[in-house]
Amino acid sequence: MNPIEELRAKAEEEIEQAEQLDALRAVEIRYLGKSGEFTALLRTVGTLSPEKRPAFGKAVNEAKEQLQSLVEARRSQLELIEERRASERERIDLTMPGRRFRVGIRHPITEAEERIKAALIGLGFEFFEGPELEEAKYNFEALNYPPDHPAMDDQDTFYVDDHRLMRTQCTAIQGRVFEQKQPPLRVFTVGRCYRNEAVDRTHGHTFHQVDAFMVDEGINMAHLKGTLRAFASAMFGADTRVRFRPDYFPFVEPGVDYSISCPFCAGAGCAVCKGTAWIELGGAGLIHPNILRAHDIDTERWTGWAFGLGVERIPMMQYQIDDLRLFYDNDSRFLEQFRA
Amino acid sequence: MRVTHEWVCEYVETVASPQEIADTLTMLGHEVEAIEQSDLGAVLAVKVTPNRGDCLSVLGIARELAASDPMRFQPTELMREAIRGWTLGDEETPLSATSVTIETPDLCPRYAARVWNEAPMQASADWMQARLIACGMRPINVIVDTTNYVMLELGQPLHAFDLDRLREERIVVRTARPGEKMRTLDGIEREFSTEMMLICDAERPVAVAGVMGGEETEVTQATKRILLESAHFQPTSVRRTRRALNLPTEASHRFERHVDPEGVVRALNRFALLLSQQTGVAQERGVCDLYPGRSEPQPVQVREARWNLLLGMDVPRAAAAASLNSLGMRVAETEGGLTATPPSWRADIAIEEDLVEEIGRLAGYENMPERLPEGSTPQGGESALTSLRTRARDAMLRLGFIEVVTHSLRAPSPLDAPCEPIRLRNPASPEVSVLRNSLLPGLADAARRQHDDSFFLFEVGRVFLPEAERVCIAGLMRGQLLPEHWRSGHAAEVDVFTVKGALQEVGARLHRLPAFEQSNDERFHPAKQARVVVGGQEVGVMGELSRLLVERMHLQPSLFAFELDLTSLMELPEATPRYKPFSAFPHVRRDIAIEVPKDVPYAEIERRIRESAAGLLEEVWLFDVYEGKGIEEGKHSLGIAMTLRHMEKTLTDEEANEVREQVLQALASLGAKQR
Repeated sequence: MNPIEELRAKAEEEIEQAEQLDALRAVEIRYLGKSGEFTALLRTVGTLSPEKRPAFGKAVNEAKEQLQSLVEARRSQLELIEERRASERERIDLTMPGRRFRVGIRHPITEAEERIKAALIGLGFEFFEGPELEEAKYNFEALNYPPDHPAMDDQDTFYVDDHRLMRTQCTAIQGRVFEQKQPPLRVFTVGRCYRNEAVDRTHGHTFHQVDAFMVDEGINMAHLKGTLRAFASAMFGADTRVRFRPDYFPFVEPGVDYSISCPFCAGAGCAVCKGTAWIELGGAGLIHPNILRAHDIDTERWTGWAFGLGVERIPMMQYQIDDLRLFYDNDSRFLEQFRA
Repeated sequence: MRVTHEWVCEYVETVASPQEIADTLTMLGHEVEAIEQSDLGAVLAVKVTPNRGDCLSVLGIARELAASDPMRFQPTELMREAIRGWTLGDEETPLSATSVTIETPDLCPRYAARVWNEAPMQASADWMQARLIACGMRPINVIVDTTNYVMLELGQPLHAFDLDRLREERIVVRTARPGEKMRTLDGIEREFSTEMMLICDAERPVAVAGVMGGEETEVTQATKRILLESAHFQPTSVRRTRRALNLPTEASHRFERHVDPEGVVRALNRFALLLSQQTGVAQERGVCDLYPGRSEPQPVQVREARWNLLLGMDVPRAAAAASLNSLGMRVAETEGGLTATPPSWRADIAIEEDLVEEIGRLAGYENMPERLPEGSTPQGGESALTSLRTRARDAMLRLGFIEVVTHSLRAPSPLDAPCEPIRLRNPASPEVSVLRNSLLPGLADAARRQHDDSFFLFEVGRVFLPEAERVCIAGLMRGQLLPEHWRSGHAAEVDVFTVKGALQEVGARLHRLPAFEQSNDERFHPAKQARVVVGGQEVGVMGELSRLLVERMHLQPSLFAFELDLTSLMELPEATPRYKPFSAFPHVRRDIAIEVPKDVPYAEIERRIRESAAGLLEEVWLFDVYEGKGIEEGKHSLGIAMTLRHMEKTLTDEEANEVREQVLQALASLGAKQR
C-alpha cells in the first residue's frame, strides 16, 4: 500500500469513529489542518523523481478532498444527534390543554339564514326586507285573503291596533314588492314571523321564515319544481328530490306543499323523516292572478310562483334538535355546540 | 276530520288498505295526519284545507277518492243514493205543523225543517254509537246522535229543537236585537250584538245560527215533539259570530267553510230514515223549505293552452274533461278548451286557475317535470341594510362574540330604551306583551343562561320604536378578556374601554368611525357611559350598565353593553378606505412621559400631538397611565408612544428628537410637564 492510501484509510477510520463534534474537529485538524499529516506527506514530494511529483501531488489533494467531504457528512450527523439530545431535555406534556381563544359563534338560525341567502342569491334572487310590524292589508288582503276567511285560523295573529299586526308570514312582502318593482323579478326575504300560539317543543310565538317568489313570462309549476330542486340541492345535497302535493293558501293557485327526499337516510327511513323518506318543507304555488291583477300586471303575459319555508326546520334537521325553544333560550351549552 | 276506514268503504268499494287510502287522500291535497286504531278498525285523521268544506264528510271524502281513480274506488249503491238524495215522497208537501220566516235572506239563503210529533228518547243504535265514538264524538241520545251522524256522513249540520218550547211553534231567522241574550247549550248566558244572526221563535232567540243551540229549547228526556233544522248559512256571518262569541263548534266549523245548499233537504231525509230505522218513528208529512237565496253556480272557462302553460305539462283535453266531470262538474267543450260548471258543494271554484289546479291535481303532480326558469336573468343580491347587518355581525364574530337570538315580543324591562314600547292589543301573556324597543333586555335574558362568569354576547335584530322599525346591533359582556389558562392565569377584565374598542372595530368594518360623547342614559353608570356619534348624529349608546339596575335585575355585576342603530348608520355616508402609499424607510419610535392635570382629556392631548408632529407622525398610542406616589394631586402621568417615519429618507435621531421637542412644547400649553 502506498503512503497516501495508508494515511487516507487511517483518517477515514478515525472520522467514522468520532462520536463528538470536538473529537471530529480534532481529527480534521490532525489530518487536514495546515500543519496536519497530509501537509507533512506533501512535503515529502521532494524525495521523488521530478516526473513522479505531479501525480503524487494530485493524489494527495484528491485524498484530502475526499476526506474533507467525509468530515462534513459526519459533522452533519453528529449535529443532528446533538440537537436531538438537547431537544429531548425540553420535552413537554402535550396532553396539557391548548390555549383557549375567544371565538365568535354564529347563532344556528343565522347560519341557516346565510346558507339560504347564498343559495337564493346564486339562483338570481334579490333580497328584500319588509317590516315585521306590518300593516294588516299586506299580511292578508293583499294576499287574496277574503275578509273573515277560515284560512286565517291557522294564523292566530298578534295585533297592535286595527290596522297593524305582527306579520304572520313573510309572504307579506309581496304587496310591497309589487308596489315598487315591475316584472320580471325574482325576490326573496328571510325574517321573523309571529303567531299567537301556545309555546311547546314544536311551536313558538316567533319563528323565522323564507319567502321567495318570481314573476316572468311563461313561468309555470315546472319552473317552481325545478327551482325548488335546485334550491334543495344547494341546501341538502345534489341528490335531493322534490315532491309536490296539493294544498291551499289563498295567495297561490294552484297551491302545493312540497317535500324533499330525506337527505339523512337516502330514502331508507330515519328519525328525521319519521320513516317516510320525505320531509315536508313548506308551501308553494303559482301566484294568485288576483294579486298580480291588483297591481296591474297582465296575467296573460306574466305569471309567477312563490314558495316559503321555516328557517328553524333546517338546523333542527341538521343538528337533530328536538325543541324549538332552545333557539331562543341562548343557553351557552346549546350555542357552543355548533361553532357555526 | 276523523273518519273510520269502514265507513269510507260503505261509500266506495275498494281493496285499498287504510294506508293506501291515506296516501291517496294526501296526494289529493287532503293530508291524512294519522291513522289511529278504534273498535271499528282504522280511523283516518284528515286535515281538510279551509277552502274544501265539502270534504268535511264521509260523502265528500268518498267523492274525492272516486274522482281520483274510479276503477280503484267504485261508488257503492249507498253513495249513489246519497248523491240522489233519499226522497221520502213528501218533499213537495208544505209542512203545516210549523212556519219559518227568514228576515235576512242574504245571511240565510236556505232554511228547511221537518217535524216529528213523537220523540223517542232512547239511546241510539250500537252501530251508530260505535261510529260516533270512533270519530271522536260522545253519544247522547238517538236524536242528538243522529244529527251528529248525518253531519259526519253528509257534512250538513242539523239542529233539533223541542217544538213545544218554541213560542207559537214557529221559527224566525233574524239578526239580534240590541241587548238580546240567551243561554247556549254549554250553559253560558251570552249577549248578542246586532249583526249576529239568530234562530228565534215568535219572541226570543233559540239558537245562534250555525253555531250552537239554546239551552231552553234543547231536546231533553221530557221532549215530546221535535223540529229539525237543516239550513245553509252565509259562511262569513257564521265565522264572525263564532269568533265574537269565541264559540267554535263542529257546526260552525262546517258552515264557515261552505255547506252544500243543495244538500239541505237530503240531510233532513237521511235523518228521518235513520231515526225510523232505529226507533220506528216516522216524520210528520211535509217539509218546510225556504230557499230565498238560491244562486246558480256560474260556468268557468279554462283554456287548454293555459292549463298546459301553468302546469308545465301537457294534459290532453279529454283527460282534463274527464277529471272535471268526475268532480261533479258539468263540462262542455268550447273553442280552445272547456267550460265547467262547478257543483253546488264546490264554492271554491270561481276562476280559470281553480280549474287548472283541479286538472293538475287529478293528473298527478308526480308527473310534473322540473325545469329552471328561462328568459330574464336578473341580478340577485343583498339589500344595503342586510349587507350592513352582515358586516356588523362579522365584525362582532371576529372579536370573539357569541351571537344570540332573543324574542322581540316580551315583557317591559328596566333595560328598555327610554321611550314607551308598542303594546300588543292581544298579548299572549305578560311575558309576551310588548314589542322590544331595545336589544338589551333580550341580551340580559341570555346572560342568565351563560354558564361561565365571563361572556361576550351580541344580537343583531329589529327593534320597534313608536315612529319606525330599526335594525340594531347590541353587545353585552363581562369577565375576563381571555379564558383562564394554565400558561397565563387570569387575563385582563372587561371594562368600558373594551366596549369602546369593540365599537371602534365595528365602526371600522362599517367604514363609519364612531366618536363618543358624554351622555345621560339611566340604564348606564352615570359616569361610565357615552353616546356613540357618527358624522354628528347619535347612533347608539355604550357604557357600564347601571349597578343599581343590574342588582335589581339580579344580573351578575360589572356588565358592559352597547347598542348601535344600523338603520341610522346605513343612511350616513360611508367613508370607503382609499389606499395610502407608505414609506420604504425604517421608522423611529419616540416615547414621551408627561404629567398633566386629570381634567385635560386625552383626546385633546392626542390632537395636539398629531398637529405638532404632522408630516412625520405615523402612529400615536397611549401605553401607560399612572397616578399616585410621585405625582401631584389632581394630575396623572401619561406614557405616550409615537412612531415617526419619512416618506423619502431614513430619519436621523436628531430629526426625531426635534419632533419630540415640538410635541412637548405643544403639550406645555395644556399644562403638561415632561417627567
